[in-house]
Amino acid sequence: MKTTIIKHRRSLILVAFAISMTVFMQRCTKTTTDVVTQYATDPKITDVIVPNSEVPVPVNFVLDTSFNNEKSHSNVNWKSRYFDFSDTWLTGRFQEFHFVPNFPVPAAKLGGVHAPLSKGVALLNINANPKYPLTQYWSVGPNTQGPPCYFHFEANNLSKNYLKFYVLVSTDCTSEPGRDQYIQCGQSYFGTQWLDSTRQVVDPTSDTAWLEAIPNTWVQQGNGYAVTCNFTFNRYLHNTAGKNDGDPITKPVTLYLTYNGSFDFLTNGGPAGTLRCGFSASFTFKRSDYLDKTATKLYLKNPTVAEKANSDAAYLVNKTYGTYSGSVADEMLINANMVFSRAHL
Amino acid sequence: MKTLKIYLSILVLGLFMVAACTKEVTETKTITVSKSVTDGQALIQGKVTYKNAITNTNDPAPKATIKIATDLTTKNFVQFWAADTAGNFSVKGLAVGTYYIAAEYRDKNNYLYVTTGYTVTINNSVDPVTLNFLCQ
Repeated sequence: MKTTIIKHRRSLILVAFAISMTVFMQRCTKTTTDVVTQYATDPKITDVIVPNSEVPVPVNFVLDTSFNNEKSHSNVNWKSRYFDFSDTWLTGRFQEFHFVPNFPVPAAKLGGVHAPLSKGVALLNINANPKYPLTQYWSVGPNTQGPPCYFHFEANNLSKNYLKFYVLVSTDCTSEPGRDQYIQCGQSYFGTQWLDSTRQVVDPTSDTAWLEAIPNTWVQQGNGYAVTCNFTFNRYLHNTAGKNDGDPITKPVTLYLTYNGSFDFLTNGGPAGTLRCGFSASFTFKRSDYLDKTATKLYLKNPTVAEKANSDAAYLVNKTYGTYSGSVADEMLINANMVFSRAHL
Repeated sequence: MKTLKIYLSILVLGLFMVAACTKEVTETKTITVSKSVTDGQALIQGKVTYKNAITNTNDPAPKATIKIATDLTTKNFVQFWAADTAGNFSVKGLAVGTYYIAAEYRDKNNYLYVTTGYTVTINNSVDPVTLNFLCQ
């Protein structure tokens, strides 16, 4: 009897255990909760954009004939790529130039004085360029180049502006005798002609490059100005159709000019002080527009015996006096920095 | 017989447990989240052009600089962004607030073109702000 009870108890225990585990497992039932998020956006306030009302102060400056050019603090430079294959630059500067406002050309002088007196002393060829004797001014010869150089600038009224600059191309200086000396590449490419056998007196008709602004083409461009200019450089030989021998070659270029500000030095430059101002200007041109690119020999008006054969051959075919150099890139950049001053008012 | 009963009980127990474990309940809970329109980072985008007086056109200003000042009194610029080659720009990361924003462009001739700029109050970081600059 006891054994039977024990047997039934075991079964009851198992059944009870099964029921309790079932209840337990049901309490552990896996519950999945799907969360649905609802977004409520805060009220949005529109952005506010207000254009600034500040007006830049306009430049108010006039460069007139009361100013003189400080030539010793001014310069005209050129640069061009060597062989046009990289940014390896050839550079040089022109020793003689003038930016003087409304400068009258003295008689028998090319474009004006060559260097102003300094402390009562005439400035000579202190750079010792071997083209010139040490006792000689930069260039000599009659003035055959027409009107003087001039420069008038009014920032507030561009229609009143006018400009005409010159450089003497024979005064090109790279400080390299291999390019600067007579019959070396520099002078040949500029078309410089010589009147004497010692190659010291330059033919003035071959020596001057002019830059002249076309009236009413001045526009403000950013913080600078752009103006269309006629750039005159080199001359035609008789072989160019429609051109006479010696006609100057003139084509338009765009000059970028910047007024760099002024400063009144109240006690500098004398008791009255000095007002100084500065400008920068630059333009580019293609040498192939001004030089006969096909010329292989150089024409010289007064060739030496050794030069005569080549010169005669060149005279028959060359279209321009100056010849094109393949070792210099086609595009050339001209850059000028100009300082002007006058007595403090 | 005894062993058979035990196995049978275990089998029944297992069936109960399996049946119990397969039970799943799915609930749906809805949460409401308040979305702020001021916490994010604002986007300012636009284009910079410059007045080309030579051609009398407004041309794209490649690589123009966008300048941002937070001090509206001194207008000292503290952030600088660059436009792309077409003059398009995107300024990212600004918080809600008021800024003085201007642009400038320098061309190959080193000429500088500027604008008087905008005072921009960003009140939300949701809407992109569009600013177009004409430098001259």
